[in-house]
Amino acid sequence: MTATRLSILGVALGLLAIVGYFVVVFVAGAWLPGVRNGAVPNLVVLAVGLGCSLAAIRRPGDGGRRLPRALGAVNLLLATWFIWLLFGMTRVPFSAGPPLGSTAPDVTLTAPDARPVRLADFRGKPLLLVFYRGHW
Amino acid sequence: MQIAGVVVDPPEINREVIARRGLDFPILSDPAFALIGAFGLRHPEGHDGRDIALSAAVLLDANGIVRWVSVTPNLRVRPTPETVLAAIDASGVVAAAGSAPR
Repeated sequence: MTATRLSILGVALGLLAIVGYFVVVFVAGAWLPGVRNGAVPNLVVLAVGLGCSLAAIRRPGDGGRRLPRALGAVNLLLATWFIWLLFGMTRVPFSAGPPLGSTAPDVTLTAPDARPVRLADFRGKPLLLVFYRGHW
Repeated sequence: MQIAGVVVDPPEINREVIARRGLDFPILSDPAFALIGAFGLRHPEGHDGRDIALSAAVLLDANGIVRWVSVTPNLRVRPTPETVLAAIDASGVVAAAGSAPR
């Protein structure tokens, strides 16, 4: 494969990794929770793409090294941004949550039909509380 | 086994989400952070400068005792359904509730 084609492939793989991750998050997250959590397939594709970019840069030029270098830089920028998104931007403050064995407080919240609901109303059966960030 | 969502958003929005997603459990509104705060799950300025809840799951047994908690330090990471079901099984809350006099 020529250096030009290899460098294009590199960027294409980088974009595939990133776009694929957004597809998982916004469309297929319920079916692929593992990928959403770890993004391992995406990181693998990203790495292969970067490998292609590097190989393209090092290949004897078939028309100069400018395009492979430019596309390699673009790919590296995309990869850096994606890594920051996965591991930096999405970090939240640490919290251990409520202590195990503690009793849930008797608070009153509001049901979807706008009626007040006491947490104690749920006693008698186990209750799984799922806290959402909201603002959806 | 009961499930309830908890969020700072008002009931009108929660109704919409329930309808849009076809949820068969309620989403409870906690704008004053009564429960979110009590559980230490408040995220200061977590969205557009406003305080919201951290993404978390808390399992209470039939007596309101906290038996399992899942909070991750990254909002990309959430417990999978398998993880939650395994935690429910391991805690024994369903078996215990079944045998409790009522």
